Amino acid sequence: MRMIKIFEGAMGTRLQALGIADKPCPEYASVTHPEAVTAIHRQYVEAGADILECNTFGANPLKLSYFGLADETEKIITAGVNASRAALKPGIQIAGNIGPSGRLIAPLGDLGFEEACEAYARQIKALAAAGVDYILFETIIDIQEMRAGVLAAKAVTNLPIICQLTYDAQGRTVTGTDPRTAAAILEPMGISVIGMNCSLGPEQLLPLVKELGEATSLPISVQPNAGIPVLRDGKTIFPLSPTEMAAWVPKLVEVGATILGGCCGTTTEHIRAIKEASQGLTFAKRQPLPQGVRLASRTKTVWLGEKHSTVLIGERINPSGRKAMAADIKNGDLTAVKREALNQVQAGAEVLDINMGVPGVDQKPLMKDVVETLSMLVAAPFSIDSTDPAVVEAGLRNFPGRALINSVSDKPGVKEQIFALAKKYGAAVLVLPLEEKGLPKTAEERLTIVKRLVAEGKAAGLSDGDFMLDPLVLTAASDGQAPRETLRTLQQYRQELGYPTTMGLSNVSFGLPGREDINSAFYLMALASGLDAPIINPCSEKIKTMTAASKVIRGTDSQGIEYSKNYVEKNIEASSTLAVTSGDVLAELCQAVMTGEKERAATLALAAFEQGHTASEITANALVKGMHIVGEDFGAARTFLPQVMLAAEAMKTSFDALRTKIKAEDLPYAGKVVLATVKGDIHDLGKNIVSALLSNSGFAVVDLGKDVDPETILAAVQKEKPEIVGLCALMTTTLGSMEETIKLLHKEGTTAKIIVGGAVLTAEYAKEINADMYASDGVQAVRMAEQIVKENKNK
Amino acid sequence: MQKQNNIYRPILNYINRQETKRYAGLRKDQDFPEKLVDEACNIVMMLKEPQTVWTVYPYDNCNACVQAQNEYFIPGNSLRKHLACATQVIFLSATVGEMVEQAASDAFARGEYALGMLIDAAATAAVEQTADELEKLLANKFAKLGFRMTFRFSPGYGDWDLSEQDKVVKLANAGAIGVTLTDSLMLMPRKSITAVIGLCPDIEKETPSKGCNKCTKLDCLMRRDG
Repeated sequence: MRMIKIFEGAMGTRLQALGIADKPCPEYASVTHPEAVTAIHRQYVEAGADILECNTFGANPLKLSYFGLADETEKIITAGVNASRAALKPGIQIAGNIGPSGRLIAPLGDLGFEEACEAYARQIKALAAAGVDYILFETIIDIQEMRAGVLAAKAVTNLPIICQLTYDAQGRTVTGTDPRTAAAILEPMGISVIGMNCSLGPEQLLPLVKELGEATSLPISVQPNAGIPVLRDGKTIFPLSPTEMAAWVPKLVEVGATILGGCCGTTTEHIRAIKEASQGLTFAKRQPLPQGVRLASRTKTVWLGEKHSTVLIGERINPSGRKAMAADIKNGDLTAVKREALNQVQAGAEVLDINMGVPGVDQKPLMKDVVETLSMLVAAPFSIDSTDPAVVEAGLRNFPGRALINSVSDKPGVKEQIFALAKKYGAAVLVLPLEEKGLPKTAEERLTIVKRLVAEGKAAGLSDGDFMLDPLVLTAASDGQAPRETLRTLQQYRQELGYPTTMGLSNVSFGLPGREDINSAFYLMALASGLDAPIINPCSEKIKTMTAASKVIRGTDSQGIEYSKNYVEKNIEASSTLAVTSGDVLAELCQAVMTGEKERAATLALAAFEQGHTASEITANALVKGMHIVGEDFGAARTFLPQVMLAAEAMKTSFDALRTKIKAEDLPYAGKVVLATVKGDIHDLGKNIVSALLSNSGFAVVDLGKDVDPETILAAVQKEKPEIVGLCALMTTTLGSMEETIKLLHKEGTTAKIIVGGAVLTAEYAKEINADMYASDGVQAVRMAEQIVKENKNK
Repeated sequence: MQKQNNIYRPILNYINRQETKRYAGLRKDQDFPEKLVDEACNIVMMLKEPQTVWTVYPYDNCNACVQAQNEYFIPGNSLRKHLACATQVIFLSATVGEMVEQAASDAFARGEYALGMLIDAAATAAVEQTADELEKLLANKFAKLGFRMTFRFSPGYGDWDLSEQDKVVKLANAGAIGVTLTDSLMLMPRKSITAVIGLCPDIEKETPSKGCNKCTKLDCLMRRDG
């Protein structure tokens, strides 16, 4: 029976009450007032605390540098530990307390990962030298900072490590990590206790502790605040009394807490009450973790294995055989890599394989860059794909999660390094049955190699949840039995070892035509033979369909609901792109413009032309007619601007199609407009919308762009002699320059009508500055333009 | 004490589609190609460069004075009222960079008007999300001290005139993330915001959440229903 242990309570607020917390920082009180610090510890000892937390929370050189005290880091830490030791009684231990560095690690902030590690290492070295029993990280809000701390601790000491993150009411740290994911990342790194403190009271922490208990086999420490604080008369008040707080103790223990304490607002009396409430309580029984391997990003855990549904590992971030991507990467342009990452995740990949095998490029910094960039972009965990341990380490070190190493094989000199990296960074490892003496042909040979590698991995400190197995995929074209042997290997892995399996499929079809068909047949048979996580192109339609279909067959998509949904969507798409050829072609074209079907509109416009309709007929009776109906719908709020723009696009493709048949001057001409956003205003969007609508209603638009000064507009008007001038201003601050422009145009005797528009304009203001018309939106602007031209003609 | 440069580059691993549609003026459940919305969100996902910066100042709510090195007296009633309960204020700026804007213009130039509009809208959603993420960080910092945060209030809201923007840019230290002001008081890059948040010690005086019902622009395309 293991008894619940109790931490001491708050230190900072106590020092504050004594007036010695800001001279210049709470940690410095250990130097200036050691007896006061010891007295507080002593009170906690008397109240029943089993573990003291020394006054070193902010004694990090980075934080101390704000007070000009970085050079005194060791002195402050030693004084803090000594002040705790002076209060010790037999059986009581000291935890070396470490808080956040106060800065965020890049790319979230400007603190380098290595800089953070160094600062923590210095703090931890001093704590260990002064004789603490635990290294205690607390109140950390970013998992990457916690990783830096743990790596630093592991590098300088063997002391047990306690990791406490701070969560918000939604159950995530500020940078998005939930308790399950924290466990998935930190437990394999070799910490001793995991937990949480601060920000919330016991009531809010309870469900989070429960969640954590279901995701870890480690002891759990919980140090809640004394409720959610309020500020009254300039003082922070924590509402929970000692009794109220202690009432939560049995509930917290029941869901998995094994070390309890208090954070902000807790006093000696709170600790005394918590201690009393914990008397006689022992560790609660926890469910064992599910079988399988878990990978994690900063914000998400993904389980792989027989008991979990198929996980697609996206293979597309790999420049081998893809010249364009390789060239981009070489030029430092990661856009293609980012696009592949997003596309794969949207297509259903839950893990992304990252291979940076670009010839002639130093892969180490590149891997670091790509891992950092993609971890800001997608929530999928990564598989770091390289045979070079240095590149693997660059990926693992900078990934704020738990990655998969792809891969380790039986290569002396390298495999030892890979296992050591997996252990150090808490990564999982993909085991490939390859050895130096040649390719193992049979399933039995492969099983033997894999068993040997797993044993070696375990000897290096890895455990069952760290291995994924690859059955080895060889090319069917060169060895007809190879695919069958791969499937047999999968079956044997499942029977003999039970670890999750993974493999890249596409090798199998190398040299054959219709590779996708071979790949998908192989894929399905492999799933049936025990494949858990294919490394695959998730964007392939065939793979998508096969994955969805196989889920129906295996019963993981109950009644085929998801599968059917995709099917329905596809049907809708197919029917909408069909060009209906029966009936009145102009009516259909009008309809296609209204629904914004670009390709269909272009096809119909050409068909109408072939049937003998003139360009003017097509424009008037189909295109403009459709646009007018859309415009009316817009005016009546039955449809909205993006749909109007789609209609304009359909008109554009129709005009573009007609232009291939007739000369541009034979297209109907409605009139000319000079259009600009006025000086000082850099907004483009509104003017672009008006421009698009006008030019697709038959107007010739001279678009002068944004931030255009009055003289330039005047010059264009004098040169182009338009019927209409359109001016846009989106901000109150640029209305003046609109007025100035109009004045200038009038002074120079412009006869063109001036239409103005923009978010802040009103009809009244337009009148005031002598504009001829005010258009509240682009549709109205087109109508006004048409009206002006009509009136001109009637004159 | 050394002054900190408070820069935070938050993670956005999605763009809020609902907000994107709202900013584009698509209200209710419109029959609109969702793929286009996805495409716009994807483009913004790839090109966004979210950055934020903030500075905290003591605030004298009797005299509406931000106690910066150069004192700033809050003009106008709306912001004074908004900050009536605050004893400290946070000036902040957030941006998603310039590349998103170029992508919207490029789409227009290609004749993909609806996509251009949606990229612009998705970029607006992204900058709001960026500021929301900063608020999460700030909430973590200040909630544990017992403060409640008011909602973000920006120049141009109520009677807080846009002409105050230059002071706000300076108070927020927006230059640290590359956000500057044009002569006509526009933020560059365009998809940027500045705002002030009040830190209020009193729980009872929590300010109501932001809503469109207070705004006078009734024909706004982005107006939330209800």
